[in-house]
Amino acid sequence: MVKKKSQKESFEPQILVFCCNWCSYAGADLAGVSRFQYPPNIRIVRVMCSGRVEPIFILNAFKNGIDGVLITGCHIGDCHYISGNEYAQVRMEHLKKLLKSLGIEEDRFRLHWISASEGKQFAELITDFTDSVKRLGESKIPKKLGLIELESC
Amino acid sequence: MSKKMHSSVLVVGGGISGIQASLDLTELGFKVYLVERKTTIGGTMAQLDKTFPTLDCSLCILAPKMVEVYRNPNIELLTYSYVKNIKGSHGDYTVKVIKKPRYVDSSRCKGCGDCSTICPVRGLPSEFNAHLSTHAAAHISFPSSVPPIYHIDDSKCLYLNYGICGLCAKNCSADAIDFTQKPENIELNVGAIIIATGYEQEYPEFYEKLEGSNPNVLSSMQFERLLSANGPTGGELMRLDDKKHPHSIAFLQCVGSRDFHHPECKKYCSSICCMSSAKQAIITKEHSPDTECFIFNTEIRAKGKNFYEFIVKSKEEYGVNYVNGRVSMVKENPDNGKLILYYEDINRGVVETKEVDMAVLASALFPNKAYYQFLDCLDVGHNELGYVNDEGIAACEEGYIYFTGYSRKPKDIPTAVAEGSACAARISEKLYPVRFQNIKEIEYPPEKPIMVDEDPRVGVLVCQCGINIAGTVDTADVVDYIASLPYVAHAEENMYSCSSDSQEQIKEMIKEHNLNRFIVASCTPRTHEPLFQNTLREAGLNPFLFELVNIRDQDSWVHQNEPEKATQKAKDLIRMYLGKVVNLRPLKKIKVPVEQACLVIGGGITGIVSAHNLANQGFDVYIVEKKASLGGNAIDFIDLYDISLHKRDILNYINDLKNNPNVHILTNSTIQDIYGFVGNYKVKVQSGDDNRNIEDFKVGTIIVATGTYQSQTERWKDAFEKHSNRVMTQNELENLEDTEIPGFNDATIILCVDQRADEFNQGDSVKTYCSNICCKVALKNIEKLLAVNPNAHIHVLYRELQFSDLNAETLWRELRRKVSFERYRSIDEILINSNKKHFHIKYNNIGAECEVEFNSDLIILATPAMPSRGTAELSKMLKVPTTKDGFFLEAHVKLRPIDFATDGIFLCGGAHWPKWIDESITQAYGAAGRAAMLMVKGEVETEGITSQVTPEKCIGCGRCAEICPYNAIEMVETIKQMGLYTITEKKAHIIDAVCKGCGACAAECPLGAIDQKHFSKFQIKKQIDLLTGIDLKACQKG
Repeated sequence: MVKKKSQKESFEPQILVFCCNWCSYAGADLAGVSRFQYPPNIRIVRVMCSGRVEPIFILNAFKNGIDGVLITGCHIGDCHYISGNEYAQVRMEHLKKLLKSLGIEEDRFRLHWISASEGKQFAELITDFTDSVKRLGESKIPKKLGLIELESC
Repeated sequence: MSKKMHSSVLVVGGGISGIQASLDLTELGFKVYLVERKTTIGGTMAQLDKTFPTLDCSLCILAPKMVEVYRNPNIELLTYSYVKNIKGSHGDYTVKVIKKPRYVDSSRCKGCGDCSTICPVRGLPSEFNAHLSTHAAAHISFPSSVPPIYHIDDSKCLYLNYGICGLCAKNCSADAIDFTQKPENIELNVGAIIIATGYEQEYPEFYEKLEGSNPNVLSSMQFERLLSANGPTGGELMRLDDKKHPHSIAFLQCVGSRDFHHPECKKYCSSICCMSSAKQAIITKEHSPDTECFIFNTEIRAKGKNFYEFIVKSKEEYGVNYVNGRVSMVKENPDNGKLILYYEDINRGVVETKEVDMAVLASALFPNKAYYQFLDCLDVGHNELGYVNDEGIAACEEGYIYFTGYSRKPKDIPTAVAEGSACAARISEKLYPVRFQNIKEIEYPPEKPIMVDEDPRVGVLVCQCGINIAGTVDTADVVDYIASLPYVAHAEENMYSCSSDSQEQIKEMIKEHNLNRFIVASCTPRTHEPLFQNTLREAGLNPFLFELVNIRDQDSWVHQNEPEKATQKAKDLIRMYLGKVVNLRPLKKIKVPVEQACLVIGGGITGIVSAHNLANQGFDVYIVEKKASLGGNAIDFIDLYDISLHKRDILNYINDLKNNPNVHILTNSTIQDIYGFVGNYKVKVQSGDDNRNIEDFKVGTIIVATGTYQSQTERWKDAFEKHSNRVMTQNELENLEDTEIPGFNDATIILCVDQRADEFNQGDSVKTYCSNICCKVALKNIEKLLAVNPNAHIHVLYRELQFSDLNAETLWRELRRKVSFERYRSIDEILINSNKKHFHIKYNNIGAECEVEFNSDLIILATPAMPSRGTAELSKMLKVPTTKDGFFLEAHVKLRPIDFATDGIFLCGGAHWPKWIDESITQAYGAAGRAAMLMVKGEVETEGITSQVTPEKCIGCGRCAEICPYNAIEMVETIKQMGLYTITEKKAHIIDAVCKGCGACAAECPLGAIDQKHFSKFQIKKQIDLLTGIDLKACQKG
């Protein structure tokens, strides 16, 4: 029992974060410029808008054994592309239900808005999300390594 | 006019304002000679750690612009040079420039620093580090200097002075040391001149009473260097004598400025120090939250967009302490080495002392010596404040000579940037007949075609960013790992990937290793992607075959205490992006024709000035104004105050516009619809008295100049009801003729009504911001009231006086002899009742610390300046953002103050933020210049990243077209004959020029028929797949 607990503590989750170019990526940059420290478990994929994120991307990530996925975008009303984040919100609500039926814990997936000036909030969000994924422990799906390959035309 | 006009411009001073002016001028069709006294351009901004109020890393946003100057084929950069004399007149000047010898051949120097390493002459004070560090006689100002060329200090070099040593020449493998160099005389012919010589600050030693020679008393620039990651301590905040972290720091405002008693002091407010100290205190708190920060101030002047909120944030979120009172003396405590400050705390009315570990002197900023030599050269005088006077400016402008930045008057960065653009616009107005005569087009080598079956050969450059990255991430280890991955043809690391020498290095790498894809792992693509993309283009590669991986802002800086994990993260991120990069395809930007016409929304002074400038440059202009006539708020003012413009000038401008056949003035008009994109906007305007006329026209660019209005207050309503003609806003008083003002003996001006929220001023009706202009408008109104009744008693109830403007200090000192300025803390504490003598006012006075009451028969209120009505609707129509206060939001607070993020749309004046008329005019010129830059060539390039449809997969459901926020997708019907049947087929089609590349349609399409270029399904999938690691064996098999 004790051993298990310590294992859980030392468990370093792998977390995928989508950031939109205009707000949340800038917010993540600001966290850096301001030197707000957060756990080194996230890997950011930059997209132009949170509205670009397809639900299949998230399913893919979980299929590969990634422990948590976080999607970030501009606050509602602030989207650089006017309404992309609203589309993201609708899609991710649907996805949440699907993930539940697939048996993936709710806390492994989150959608959150971060503005370009919210460096501190970004750091706090990452800290909080990482903690909650850590509490859940490793994903039940085994990790799958990727390939560097060319798309067949 | 037969007079000769040269199609080139001299810009003196390579700080941010000079840089902006130079870059804009070349776009407007003029060759630029940029003369800089120092060995590098960048000016003061290059020395700053961060900029307020966004805390952007200063050099990070400036460096790309410096590099842009360096690469621009139409800017001839003359660094380490000075102007000796100027002869001629407008349009035709002959300028003598002396280029001082660097003793380093700039064509050979690789910027490696071998000369500096071996140079035995050490200990010369570094100007860049404000004397806090030293360098050798052979040195470079700072690592990202532009040009990146070393130079030898001839006053100390042993070889140049004594003919011995010469070690550097032996050590230089590039053979670049040249001791025979002599000063070069250069003669330039130019049509116009911009003076942007910037400012200087005294070193602390100058202020003896403040213990300036103590190593722990620093100037604000020295402290800035101390905070900076590329500063003398690598960004570690410490006392320079005992290397200990300071636990308490005092910032001393107004040192040597705003002082009429001491001749060595400046009489004006330097305008930026309050904000700069607040910024430094915040950064200090971020370095170490336990350090106590005290800002000793005369009053806090936060003049600028959302600056006041920044001050409030420093207090409330960071716990910075503000002490109202100047420090008169500083002494070292011999017992503990601390500094004892002697000061008066005005709020508490006591004289006190305080011990701190470090003191920062936010001392006066003033034009540098070069400025005065220049004024001599031009034969114009300066006033007692030390600045070129209004007559001098007018005379110079008559001769096409313009002052910008701090050399005109104290100002912050965005104002200096807008002014740089404004100078370019004004010169373009004068020299437009000869534009493009000296311009070289940037010629890129032909693009190397990428064959479909050609294997990717990726080059990876890992940036150390000095120690910013390498201090945490083991960059050598990262390079080793990346080099082992498939398709990586070459990987290496370097010190500063963004420097100009690195761009050459990248080109070399591409050539030597025959690369066809490139990754730079450094800072953020938001600022640096265009730079590297351009480098790729120069190397003959399509700029979209590139990715920037962020291992600084999102890695080394946020995991400073976990070097191993940060290193792992860097490896993971580069690997993920490698998965994407090998699948990148070249993309084409398309050229879109630009309509050479501009829509100016708003016919106030700002709109008029923009329109006037553009019309004189030969463009068509449409002015749309809600009201029945042009002139905006200011035309109703009886007087204009403390600006160089007279009301008759505005009327002349309006007349010019009316008589210009290229100008279409639409008054009583509202915009119904704007549709389109840069270069091709279709505008529908409803106009005429009955609003029935509909006009449609096309423009290429849009300038938003919608201005502000002053709101009314709900406060003291009952008291005001009875004598409502005796209560008015400042604006309303400005609009009254002297005879229209009701008779009065005791007038009261109340400032900060319903604005500047803080711990005392709360409530839903209180705006958080400061309108910036009210204090100075109050001065104007005091003069107006005194002119009507010189014996009147005038009270000004204020909180802090915000006129950080060159002349305001003098004006205020003059007026306060006749008027009582009284400080209050909270607007809620001001009680007003009506009585027989009209009003009775009661409030708590700060300073006297008691309740004060008096009768008044005229009340003038400084209520907030609000964004013009209709701003929200307009922002939706233009698809541009606004701030939380409803003002339009510019593309970048510091360096793009008058651009919107959307191409082709610009803003100026009150639409951006309430501001004094002269500043609005500057922005108006600036916006006109920025708009002209797009129109002058008649075409622009658009985004390369758009969506694309695979028609075979598309079922024509139209979901994509439904959700596209830009109407960039049209459903195209085609009729197909299939045997006996005629089938109508619907397919989605992307209008490339309208597509903004958000990718929402790609995510929406149920069939996967739409994909986004550069962020394709497969590319993103690969990034995700490679997050968990790489299966190298499977890769090799594949």
